[in-house]
Amino acid sequence: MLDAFCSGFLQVFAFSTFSLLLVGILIGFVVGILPGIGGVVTLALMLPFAFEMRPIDAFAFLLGMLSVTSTTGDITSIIFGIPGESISAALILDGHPMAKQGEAGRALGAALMSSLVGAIIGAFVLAASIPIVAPLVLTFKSPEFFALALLGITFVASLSGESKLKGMIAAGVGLVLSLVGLDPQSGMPRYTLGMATLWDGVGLVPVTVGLFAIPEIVDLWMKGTSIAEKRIGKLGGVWQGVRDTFTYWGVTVRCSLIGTFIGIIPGLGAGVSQWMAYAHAVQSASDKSRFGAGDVRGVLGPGAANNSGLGGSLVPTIAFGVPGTVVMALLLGAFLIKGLVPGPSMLTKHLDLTFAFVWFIVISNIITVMLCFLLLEPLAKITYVRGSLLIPGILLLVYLGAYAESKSTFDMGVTLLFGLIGLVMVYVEWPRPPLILGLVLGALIERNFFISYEIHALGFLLKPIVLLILLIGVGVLFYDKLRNYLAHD
Amino acid sequence: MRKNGIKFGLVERVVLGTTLALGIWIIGSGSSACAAQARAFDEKAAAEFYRGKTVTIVVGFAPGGGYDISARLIAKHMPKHIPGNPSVIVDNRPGAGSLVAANLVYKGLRADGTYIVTFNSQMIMQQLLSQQGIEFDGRLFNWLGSVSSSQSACGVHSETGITHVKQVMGPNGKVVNMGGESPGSGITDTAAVIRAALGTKFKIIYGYAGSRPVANAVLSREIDGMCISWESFTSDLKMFFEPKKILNVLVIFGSEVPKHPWLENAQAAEAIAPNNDARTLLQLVYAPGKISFPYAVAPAVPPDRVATLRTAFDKTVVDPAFVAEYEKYRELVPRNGEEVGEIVRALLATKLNFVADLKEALKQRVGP
Repeated sequence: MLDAFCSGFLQVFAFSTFSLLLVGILIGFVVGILPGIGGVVTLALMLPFAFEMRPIDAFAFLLGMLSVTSTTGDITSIIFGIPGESISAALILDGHPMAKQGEAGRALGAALMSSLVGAIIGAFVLAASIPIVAPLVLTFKSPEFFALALLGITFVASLSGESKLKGMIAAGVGLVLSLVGLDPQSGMPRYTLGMATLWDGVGLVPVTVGLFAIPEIVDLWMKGTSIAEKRIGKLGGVWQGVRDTFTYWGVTVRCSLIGTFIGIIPGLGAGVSQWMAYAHAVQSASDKSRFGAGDVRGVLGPGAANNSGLGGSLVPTIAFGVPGTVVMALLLGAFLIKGLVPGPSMLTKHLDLTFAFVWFIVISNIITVMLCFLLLEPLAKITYVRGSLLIPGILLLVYLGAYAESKSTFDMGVTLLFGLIGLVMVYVEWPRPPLILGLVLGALIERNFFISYEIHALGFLLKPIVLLILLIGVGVLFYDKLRNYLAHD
Repeated sequence: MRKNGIKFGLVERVVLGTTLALGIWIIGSGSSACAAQARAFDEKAAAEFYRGKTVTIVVGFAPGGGYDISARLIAKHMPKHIPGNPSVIVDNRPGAGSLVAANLVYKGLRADGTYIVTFNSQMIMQQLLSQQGIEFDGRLFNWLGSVSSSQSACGVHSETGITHVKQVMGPNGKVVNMGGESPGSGITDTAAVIRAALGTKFKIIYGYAGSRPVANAVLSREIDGMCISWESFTSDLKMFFEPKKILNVLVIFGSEVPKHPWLENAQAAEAIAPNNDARTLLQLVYAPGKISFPYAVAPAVPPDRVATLRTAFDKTVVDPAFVAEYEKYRELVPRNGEEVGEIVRALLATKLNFVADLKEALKQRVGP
């Protein structure tokens, strides 16, 4: 075991492997920063190149790329208020307000450091859990997925800020939007306005980008200043951000574990865990007043969770060939092309390769974070550039991002529409994250409810794990009430 | 609100000007490409036409899947076989199971022979069943050929104890839960047709988010089994057979069982069909699988360019470099444009009473 662990480490530094790791990191770096163009598309585009490489080189290249996108995606979210990756959207909530207050450096420092911690925790959970994870993955079936998705909805309360009712309504709108598309049960188009483009539903990327980016751009334009309204210190406190990661050690570690756990369970992924982590950060804080207005804990939570997910989601992929997300399904394709069969052989014959995966994640994150720290100064300085100079470029990126996923001009229209909706929501002070969460979870809830019902009728609600998860949900809903009650007693 | 309105300094003006100029250039170059004229060409003129051009293969699916990988390999090897050696690129236009791409190219997105489309051949079946959203007529597409042939098969987890299809047939047959996506998808309809034609006791569980989640559900024993192309079983879903065989394939489409160690107890669907009507139904559903990964250009493309592209396609699929690379990924079963067109026309000429039977078979939610 230790042998394989060390030999995995040494293999990373073979010349061809390490140089391809660096190439992967470089590609991932750029892709992460550009909004809309995500890890999935890039991995898919790069897959053919991996055909020609040795297995270990191929995975150095692919994992190097994947490890980085969520880290650099956080940068875009913080600086511009545009999700650099769809799994970085939650970073906007507190990261961007910090940038506006001149604390871009601190937010970036915190995001980078928590990303690194998250990635390392995720990677080591991967290393430690492969032999023991089988029961967990195989006990999670449709009823448990349904319960988990429902649990996700209860986090709306924490994402809603002051007004829970507004949050619930926004989440309801998100749920309704998730109904658009082919009905998974009958195959009939639902609310598609007669357009085949809508058969696959409303795209998450254009909705997220529109909802968050357009209001920021309009705001920047109206103010006529730079993104940062004032300047603090030399760099807005990068080291402060790094220190925050360790000051709020509990938040960082717990959110890393949330990300890893959600990653291990097939079907959810970082699109969900970032919001759960954010909600957890809010909920576990005793003073919630600064969340949404620039609380560094709101950066640490999702920053850690979206990075720790990669290690987690590799667990079922490697151990059983059960890919939980699209990214993992693509990676599994790479496995097969390289002649590797996921399963027990990855723990015996190819154990050193499995450990090399762990090291790829750790090392590429360390390199990226170091690289980012070198680049932080120019990056944070962007927030001091006059808004009128930035707006054309940001708009171009926004529409490019909206277009890139499905290459349809329709999605650019969706971005614009949700930009307007986002503007109205900001104006009347309605929270936007619940809408996104509703859209993400709606399809999961619907699908898994009907599949569970087909197989077990309503009996599935009484399965032990389902009951446990639903109880946690009830706990989350009434946690604040309970705490207040106890405090007053 | 600001009192002074917006003032543009020199730098802003330069940035805005550059952005505008770039926009105008993009729009301009797009429209001049659209204006490329369709004239009558001979083979030499075709070379003249393609020289320096870019041929785009529009893939109806997101990057990374079988359609995409196959298109990328063709894009890599096809240029040297087209006169004039244009560059060939891949453009992914996912949507509605490739329907969006098929409609787009059919309706004449640059119908000058520089736009090739590849989409799910099951769409032809959807046309036969007059499903919503189909805006093309498969008979009028100019088919260049296809590169794969898929034969669907149904299997169940070995823990069910079922090793032979007879155990799930007849009045005493065991009911098995088979995973499905929404109706209309390949894996769902295959299970439904096998059930209708052979009377297998399949209860189809609809609503999984794709073939991969269905496979995961079989692995976790949430459901008993699934139907999918044999090519998928031997490539993407290999984990059912290696390192330990945990799936028993019960039945496979076609009239005979291919020789393969994983198929030792499998039965050929057509061979065990109870009557001719059932056999016709099975053949009907098998047809689109014979032309998997098809390539086509719009009906309006000039005939000599169609001929040029067909010849190039035929040369590509026998090019040793292409074959070697493709077979690393999956089995290559090429058909030329004529053959594909014939299969499509034959399928769409199916008698109406069979179409009605098929519709009925697919509509059933619970087995016999």
